[in-house]
Amino acid sequence: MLDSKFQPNADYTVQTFLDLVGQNTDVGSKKLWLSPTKYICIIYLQGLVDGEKLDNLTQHVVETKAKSETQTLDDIDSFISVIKDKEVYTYKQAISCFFKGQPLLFISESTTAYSLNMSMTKQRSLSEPTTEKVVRGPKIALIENLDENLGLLRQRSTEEEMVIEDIYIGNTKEHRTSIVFHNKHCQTHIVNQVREKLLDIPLDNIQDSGMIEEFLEEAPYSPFPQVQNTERPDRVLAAVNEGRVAILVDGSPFALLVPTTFDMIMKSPDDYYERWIAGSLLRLLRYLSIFITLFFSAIYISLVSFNQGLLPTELAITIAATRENVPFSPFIEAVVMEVTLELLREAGLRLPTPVGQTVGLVGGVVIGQAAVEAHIVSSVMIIVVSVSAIASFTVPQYGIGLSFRILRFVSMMIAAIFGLYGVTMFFLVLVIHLTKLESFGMAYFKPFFALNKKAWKDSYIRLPNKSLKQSKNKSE
Amino acid sequence: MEQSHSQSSKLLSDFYAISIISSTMLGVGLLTLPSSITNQTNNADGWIVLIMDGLLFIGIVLFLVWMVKYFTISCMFDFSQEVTGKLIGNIFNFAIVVYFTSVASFEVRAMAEMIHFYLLETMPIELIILSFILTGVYLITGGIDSIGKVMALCFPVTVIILLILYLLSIGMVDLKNLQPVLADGFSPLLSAFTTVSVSFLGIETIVFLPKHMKNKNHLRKVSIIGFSIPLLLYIITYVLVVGALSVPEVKTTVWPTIEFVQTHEVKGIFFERLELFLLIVWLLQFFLTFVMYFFLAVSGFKKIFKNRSTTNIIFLVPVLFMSSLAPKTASDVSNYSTVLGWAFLVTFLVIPLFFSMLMKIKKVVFK
Repeated sequence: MLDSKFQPNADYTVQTFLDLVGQNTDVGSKKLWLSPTKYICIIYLQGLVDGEKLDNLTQHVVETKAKSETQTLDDIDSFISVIKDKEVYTYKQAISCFFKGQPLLFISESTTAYSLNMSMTKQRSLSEPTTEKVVRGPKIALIENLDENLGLLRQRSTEEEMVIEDIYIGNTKEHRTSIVFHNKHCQTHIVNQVREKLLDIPLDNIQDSGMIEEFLEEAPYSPFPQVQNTERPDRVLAAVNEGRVAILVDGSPFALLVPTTFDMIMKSPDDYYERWIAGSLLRLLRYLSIFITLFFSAIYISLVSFNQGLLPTELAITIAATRENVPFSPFIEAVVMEVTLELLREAGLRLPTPVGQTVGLVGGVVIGQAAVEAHIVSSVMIIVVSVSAIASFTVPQYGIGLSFRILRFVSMMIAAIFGLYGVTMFFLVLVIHLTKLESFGMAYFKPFFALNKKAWKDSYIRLPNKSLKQSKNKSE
Repeated sequence: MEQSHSQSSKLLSDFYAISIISSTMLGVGLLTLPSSITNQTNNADGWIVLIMDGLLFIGIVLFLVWMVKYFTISCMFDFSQEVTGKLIGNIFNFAIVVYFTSVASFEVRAMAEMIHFYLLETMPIELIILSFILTGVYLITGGIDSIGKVMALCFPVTVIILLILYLLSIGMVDLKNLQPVLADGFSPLLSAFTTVSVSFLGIETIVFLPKHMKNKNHLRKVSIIGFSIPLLLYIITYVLVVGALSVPEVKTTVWPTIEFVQTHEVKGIFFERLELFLLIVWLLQFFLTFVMYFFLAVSGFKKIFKNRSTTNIIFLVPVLFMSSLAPKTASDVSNYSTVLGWAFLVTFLVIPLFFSMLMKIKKVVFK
């Protein structure tokens, strides 16, 4: 049935077609008479048709109707050739075009139908990035439409070597994704690997690039994200010029960037837009914040539980005084506070923005104050927990911030059992894990001191471009 | 983005190799060396022994590097099989592996003693040892590439932190404690010679390293730098520690270097006593030394039995655990180190010399 061709009877064809698409209330149809015997029938999805174009078509038919029959038909033919997308011969083709949003046009006594170029894409207008805010720099973000996104990239790039390649992924190989890479800077083996991995993705319904992310990762069990995502076109272009591959998925405002290494994640685009001293200091601050996120609570717990003697006497006395009436061990105290904080954070994220902010503020201040007064946690612990929570927000990518939040609980647990020894060993385990990770053949994490002189200048700090250029000239 | 990195480059660059040699040498030695030398010399002349012995060892290192080049040795385990045939070579290799395993377990035990003494008095020593060994296993499964990276990351940090700690505590040093120089003549120096040599334990890695190096021709530079950094640190440590604590006090303390850092109190920051940093940093160094010996033992077994690393690691974990618990008391541990010192001299000096002589004879006879 599906593969059969249309009958030369449009009424019958339309009826069969409508039966095939089933009882959908958003299907609309229009029957327009060209002459007492000839008519055309247009079937469309009400939500996806471009109403203005449809009206134009109707009007055009009505206006030309007055003329002689043959002339009308010629006229309609030429008109159709302007607006048609392609010719359709079978029900199967017709259904596939129809559900993409293209109206179908049937002509009485013809076995050919036409799909019309009248679909309207629903999209929001370009707006500011919401997840990667910068103080200074381009304030435009990718949107859900792939063509628009590619347009954005092309418009901003001056590179002639930038290649955009479409790959259809998913089980049915129907979902459109595009990979963007620099023809010269990007190593071919990376592009090949990306292509292979994309084609292997066994998913049916791909709504966001986040769904395909894990299929690109080499170690999906690792807590560290090995694929970077961004909604900033400037970041995508910078990555492409560095020789990385960007993957854009239709329907997702987030582009994926591979290969990804640890220091790439730690860079924020405005490091380059601000002056270099500020950029360098902020970058160092971010590394410090990772350290605080991971180890601050853990070190506090281990010092208070095992080695109070290592603290200055006055400080040790102060801490002991605040903990005097608290019945819990430092670890339990910290966990209570951390869990509360995570709850507040999650609640604030889910609620509508104004309410969310209020919940965060009221919850944080009130609960914190009340918990101290009720002697459930000590006030020093509140400071420790809040500082490490704030530090976890400074990581430029949300995903890696999440993994550090999880790892913080592990480090706290180890600190409660093994003290400072455990924290040091945990640090070692993390370092070992990072050195073992690879992303598309690139080492995920490289020690600071093993970098060459050129890479040094844009690693943990960012030196001015002038010196970058000089070192490049020297090395050539 | 560094374009040069590709999957094939699993070999160590020079910086990594230097870090490996230095990190392997810097272990328990730096923390105990002032007292062990002073116990032998009974005066403050240990630094002279260190310098003399260091120069002698530089000579030996140069000779070994020449030998490695002359016979194109890529790894001592391979060379021993090449020289004496499979069976006898494997017996030698087995002895070397036993030595490596003992050093590894000694380092673990010394670490556990230190942690038990300063940080975790209530924790059973077995748990500390086990967690330490398992962390080592995790690193070793990553191969020499991961080991090199971890060493290159930790080694400079530890050295910098150590130097900062020394700098902060330098006010405690009184040079009068080091005088008079050579008051007892040269005879006490000779008695300390072997004790000092033990501190250089770790330099034998250079005859196992060429296999993993990217630029095998740089071995001489790498070995000399890799040897000189710990040597300098040892000399500085000795001078500072004995200068601050004086000879009689150094002789009675188990961990003189930690005591030295402990004596200085800083006011106005979050930590009053700085030994915390030394303990953490030296915990890393203990780990690196341990891992390198563990790795060498695993690769030795791999050579002998021609099996997978995993099997060897599974076999070695209980062995390491048991042998690190074997010494009952702290003094047993230090006796253990004396035995290891002799074993070190044999592995480092006698075996390579013996093999190269055999090889030379073999070459002459069969040509």
